[in-house]
Amino acid sequence: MSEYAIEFESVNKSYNQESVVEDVSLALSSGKTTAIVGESGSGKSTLLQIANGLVLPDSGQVRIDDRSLDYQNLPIVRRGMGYAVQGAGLFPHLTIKQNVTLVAMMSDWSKVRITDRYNTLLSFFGLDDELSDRYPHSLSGGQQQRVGLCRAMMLEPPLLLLDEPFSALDPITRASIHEEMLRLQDVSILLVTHDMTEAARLAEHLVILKDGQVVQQGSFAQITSEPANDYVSLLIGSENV
Amino acid sequence: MFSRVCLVLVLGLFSATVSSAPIIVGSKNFNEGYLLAEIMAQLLEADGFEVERKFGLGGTMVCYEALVNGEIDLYAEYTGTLSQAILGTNDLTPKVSELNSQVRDRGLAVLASFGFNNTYAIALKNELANRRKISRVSELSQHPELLMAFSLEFLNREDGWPGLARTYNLSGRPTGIEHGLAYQAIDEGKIDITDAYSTDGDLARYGLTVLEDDRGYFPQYLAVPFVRSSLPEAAKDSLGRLAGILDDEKIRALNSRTVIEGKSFGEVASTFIRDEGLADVPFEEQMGSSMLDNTITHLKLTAIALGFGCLFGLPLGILVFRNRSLARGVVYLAGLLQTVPSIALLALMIPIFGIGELPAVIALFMYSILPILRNTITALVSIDPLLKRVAEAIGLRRSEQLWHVLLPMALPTILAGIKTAAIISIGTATLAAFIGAGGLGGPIVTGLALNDTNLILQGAIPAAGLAIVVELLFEGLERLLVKPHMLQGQLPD
Repeated sequence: MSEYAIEFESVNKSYNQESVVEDVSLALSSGKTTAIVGESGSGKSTLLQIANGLVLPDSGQVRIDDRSLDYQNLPIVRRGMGYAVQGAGLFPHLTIKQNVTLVAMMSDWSKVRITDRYNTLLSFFGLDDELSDRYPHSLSGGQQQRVGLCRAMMLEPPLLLLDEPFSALDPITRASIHEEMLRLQDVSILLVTHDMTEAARLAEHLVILKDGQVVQQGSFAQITSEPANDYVSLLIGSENV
Repeated sequence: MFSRVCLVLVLGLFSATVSSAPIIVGSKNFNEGYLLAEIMAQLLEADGFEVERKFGLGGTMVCYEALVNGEIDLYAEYTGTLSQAILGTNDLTPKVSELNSQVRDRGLAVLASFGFNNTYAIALKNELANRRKISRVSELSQHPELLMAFSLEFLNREDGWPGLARTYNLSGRPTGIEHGLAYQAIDEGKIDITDAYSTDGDLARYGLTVLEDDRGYFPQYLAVPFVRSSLPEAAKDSLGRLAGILDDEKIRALNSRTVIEGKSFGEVASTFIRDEGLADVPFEEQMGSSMLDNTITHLKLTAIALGFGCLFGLPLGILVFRNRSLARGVVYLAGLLQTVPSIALLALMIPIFGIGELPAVIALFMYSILPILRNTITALVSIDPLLKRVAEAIGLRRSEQLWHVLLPMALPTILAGIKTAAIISIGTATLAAFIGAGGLGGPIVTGLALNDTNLILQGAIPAAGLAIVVELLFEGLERLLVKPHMLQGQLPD
C-alpha cells in the first residue's frame, strides 16, 4: 500500500466560468479517515466526485494509490472505491440483498464468496437477515443508510468515498452508525460533511474547504487551537455552542 | 427501398400467396360503387376469369392511385369525376373517346359507359321543399338559414361545392359529413340540405326531393369501367357487354334493392346479369369475411405494426435519452408524424406502397412510434438523478446500468407507452379498410355505404372488445413484470 490513498494535484473545476474547485492539492493518508468540511456550495461534493471520475477536472490530476486515475476504465476503478451518499440511494426495484450484491454479481464473484461477504457486512452493521428479501421502501432511514454502507463495502474496497451519508439521520441513529464506522479497519475513508462534530469524531485529518479552496487542514486539535480565519472559527464555534 | 423489401418479405409470411394472376376488381366505398364492381366481377367470372375483389377503397384518389399502381385492374368511375377531379379539366360533358386519349399514356383506358348519368344532386326533404316552395338550386340563395352538410369529397372538389356556390351565388357555410350518415341526419332533421347522387336508392327511401340544376352546373357523370390498358382484351370485351345496359331508372331500382330491401350486392348483381341474359350465373351468397376472420386480420395488422413500433421505438429511445436536445428533436419528429390525419397518411402511402396490408401496417407502425418512443425517453430521463449517479459511482458499466437499474425502473412507464400504442393501433386499423387491408374496418366501411347499423356494429363491437382485451392483457403483463411498490411510485426517501 502506498503512503497516500488519494492525491489531488492542483485540481481546478468550474461551471459556466464560476470556479467550484480552485487549485486544490491534497494528499489523503492510506488507512486513515480524512474529512472534508465546509458549508454547502464549498465544493466538497464536487471534489469527491472528481476522485471517482464522476466529474472531470478542468486541469490538475488525481492519483489513486500512486497511479493516475484511469479514465478509460472507470467502472473497474470505481469498484475499488466504495461510494455511499446521503439518503442511501438504494435502487427501489431491487431487494436489500440484490442492492448490496449487484456489483459483486457483475464482477464474477462466486456465489459462496458473495454470500459470505454479504453475511459478514450484515452482521457488522447489525442488520437482520430477515431484511434481505425486502424492498428499500419498507426500511427505516437508518436501516437504509446501513444497507447503503454495506453496498459501498461489498467488494472490500481499500477506499471509501462517503458523501454526507449520515446527515439525514436522527442523532441517536447517527451516533450508533458512527460507532460502527469507528470499528472499521484497514480502509481509507474520504468523508464529506458539513458537520464539524462528525468530522472531529470520525476523522484523523480534517480539510476545511471554502469557495472551492482549502483554507486549513490538520487534526481537529490543531485546527481548534489555531483557526486560520473567521470562517474556520465560525465552523468550530457553531459546533461548540 | 431496402426497408420496403424487408416489410414485403415479412408481410409475405402472413398474406396468402397469389397463385396465377387474377383480375383484381376494386370499388369505391359507396353502394353504387360496390354494386357496379360486383356486376363486373361476376360477369368476368362467368366468362371464365379468376377475379379478386378489393372493395370499399376510400374515395376517388385511393381508387385512382391503386389503379395507376396496378394494385387493382379496374373499378367503376364516372366521366365527370375523371375529367375534373383526376385530369383537372373543366370539361362539363367529357366524351369517353376524349378521356381515353388523355389517360392512354398513363397506361389506363376508359371503356364504354354503362349508360346512366349519376350526377351530383342537391337534395332536401319533400316536406321542406313543399313548405318553402323550393324546387331549383337557384332558389337556395334566398334561404341562407337552411343547414347544409355535404360529403367531404363534394365539399372540397372543384366540381362540387366551391363551384356550385360561385355559380349560384350561395353564401351558406356547409359542414362536412360522411355520405352514409347524411341521409340519417337529414331524416332526423339535424340538417336540411345535403348532396346526393342522382341515382341513389336512398332518395326514395327517405322521401327526398332533388333540386333542378337550373344553371346546368353539374357535369355529366356517366358511369364507366375504368381499367388498366394491360387488362386482357378478352376481359375488356367481356366488360364491353355492359355498355349501355343500365339507364337511370334501372340503376336506381338496383340501388334501392340493396339499400332499402337489404339484399346483398352479390344477389342483386347475379339476378341482374341473369335477367339481362348476359350469363347464367348461379347465385351463391358470397359470405363476406366472417367476424372471426376480420378480427384475426385486424389483430395481425395491429400486432405486426406494434412489434415493429417496439423494435424501432425502444432502441431509439434508449439511444437518444442521454442527449437532451437529440431526444427532444426525435420526440418532436415523432409527434409531427402523429398529427398527420390517419386517412391522409393512408392515402399518402398508396403511391409508394400501393394498397392492402403493407401500407396499412406501415401507417400503423408510424402511429405507434410516438407513444412508445416518448414514454421510453420520459421514463429514462425522469429517473432520480441521485440513483443514476449511484449506479455509475458503484462501478456499473453503461450496459449494466441500463439493464439492471434504468430499464427496470422505467418499465412501468414504457409498458404504458406500448399499451397506448396498441390501443391507438386497434382504433386506427379500422381505417385500413379504406385501402383494402380488410380487418374490422371492412364491415364498418360497407355498413357506412349501406347505412346499415348492424353491419357497422359487426366491426365496431369486436374492435371495442379487442381494445378492452388488450388493456386487460397489459394490466396482467404489468402485474407479472413490475413490483407493486414500483407501480405506486413509492420510492425510498
